[in-house]
Amino acid sequence: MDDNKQIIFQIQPSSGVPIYKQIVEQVERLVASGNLSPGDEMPSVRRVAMYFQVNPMTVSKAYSMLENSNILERRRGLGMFVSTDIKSSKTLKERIEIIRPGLEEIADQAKQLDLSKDKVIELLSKIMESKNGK
Amino acid sequence: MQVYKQMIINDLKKYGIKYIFPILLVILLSSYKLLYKGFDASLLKISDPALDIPAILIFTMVHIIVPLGIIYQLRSALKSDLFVLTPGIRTKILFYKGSVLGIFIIWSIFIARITGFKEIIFFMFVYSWLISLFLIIVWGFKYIYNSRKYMILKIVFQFGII
Amino acid sequence: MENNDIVIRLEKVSKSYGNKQVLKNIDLTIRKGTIMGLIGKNGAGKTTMIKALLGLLKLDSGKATVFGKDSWDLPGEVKHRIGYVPQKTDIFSGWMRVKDLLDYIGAFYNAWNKDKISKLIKEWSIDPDARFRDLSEGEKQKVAIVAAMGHDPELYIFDEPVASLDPVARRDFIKELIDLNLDSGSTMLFSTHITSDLERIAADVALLKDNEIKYTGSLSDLKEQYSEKMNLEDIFLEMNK
Repeated sequence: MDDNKQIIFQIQPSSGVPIYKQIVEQVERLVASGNLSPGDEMPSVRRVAMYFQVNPMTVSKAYSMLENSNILERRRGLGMFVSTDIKSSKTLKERIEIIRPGLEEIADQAKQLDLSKDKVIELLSKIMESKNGK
Repeated sequence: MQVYKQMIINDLKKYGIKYIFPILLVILLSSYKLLYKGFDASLLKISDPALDIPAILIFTMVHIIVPLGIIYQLRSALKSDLFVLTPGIRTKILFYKGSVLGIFIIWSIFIARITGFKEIIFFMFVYSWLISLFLIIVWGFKYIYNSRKYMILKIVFQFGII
Repeated sequence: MENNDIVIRLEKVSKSYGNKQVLKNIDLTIRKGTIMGLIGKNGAGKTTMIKALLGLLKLDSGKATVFGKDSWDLPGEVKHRIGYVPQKTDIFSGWMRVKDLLDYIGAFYNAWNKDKISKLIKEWSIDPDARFRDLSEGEKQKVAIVAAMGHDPELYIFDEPVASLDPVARRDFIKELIDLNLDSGSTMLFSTHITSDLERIAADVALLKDNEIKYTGSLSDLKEQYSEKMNLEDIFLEMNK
């Protein structure tokens, strides 16, 4: 069990936002930003409830909702993990946005190295094709 | 049982001093009867008016103080929220106080030297009437014990009235 | 709807004291395993409602049941399953030592969890040899809570259980409640005016206003009905206008 890992989300019980919603939104953001990676283990319901002193059912509800939207997956006997099946958890738009930062960086480098757009895309296509072949 | 022992201790701690008065009277009457009148004599038979009449008056007084007091204690105990919700506590309190009352009645029979079946029955009747009277004085017509089934307590004792 | 998991049910419960109506047609259902917070202004009738559902008061009309049994005159087996912490702690004999008091109460229950009692007494820093009357208000309240937990009840009813506790003690208490809820799925009803505690621990809330239950439902639904800027205290003030 992971129970020594630090809990990286925050809960404010006295907020106007319901607790379960706070958890759902935060986990979504953490996964989207890469702070939580596919396969990472989530802290147990008990641990979250005790740590923040909140109703365990609320935490359960958040985890269930995240499971339903495929952001988390339940592994029997082990607990909740960040879904490795990231494809189905995101829309096309969301997925494209995840690689944007990487692309921005490539664009910057290309500019610095004075490489044309076509050259870069040509290389990218080759790389992606070879990866698809695997 | 441990619980009863604790109840007795609780009782003494709570009321302690107040028990002295009736206890003294009981001792007084018992001594009078045993030492002066003799074991076989009845307190109710007047042989020496100067002493017997006050004795009978005291006897009557004790008979009002003690049962009324016990019933009054019962009422405050049975009313307490804690006791209402603790399982079985009220039954045990009833049993305990009832036993004390029973012992008192036996003492009465002894003091008044009531013998003979008919006399004892008559005495019980009078006593029931007295108890039912006190129950009504202390409780009015409210439910005893927050329970319908214990209305029976009052009704049973009503037989005395007949 | 599964009826077996209804722990408390109040149907059209009304209660008046003389001319003053305190409860008017109260309807409330509490299901097993839930933690429900009862909120309302002081004097709104929270304690009356709790006493009515426990059979400590007679209803004027309506029906109240606990574990399916009529509240007025609850059978012994139901009493074994309820842990009640009343608002006032003066019901305990002041002269008794804490440990003797707990032993005495424990003697009436079939199953008394001595280990849990010792653990809580130690964790909450209560002196078992102290006489009850010598304790502070907060310590008395803690003892009352411990006394209600000893027989591992399925249903806990707390009437303003933390009113006299300092923030640290309140945290400990809430942690204990969460533990209980997790381990044994106990159902809990508690009345409090400390909304921040409720926001942590309650899944459902019931709002008592003007002698009626003005809202009953999940806390998250309630928060979603109001602006995100409003926490429970704000909502409560708003609803009480």
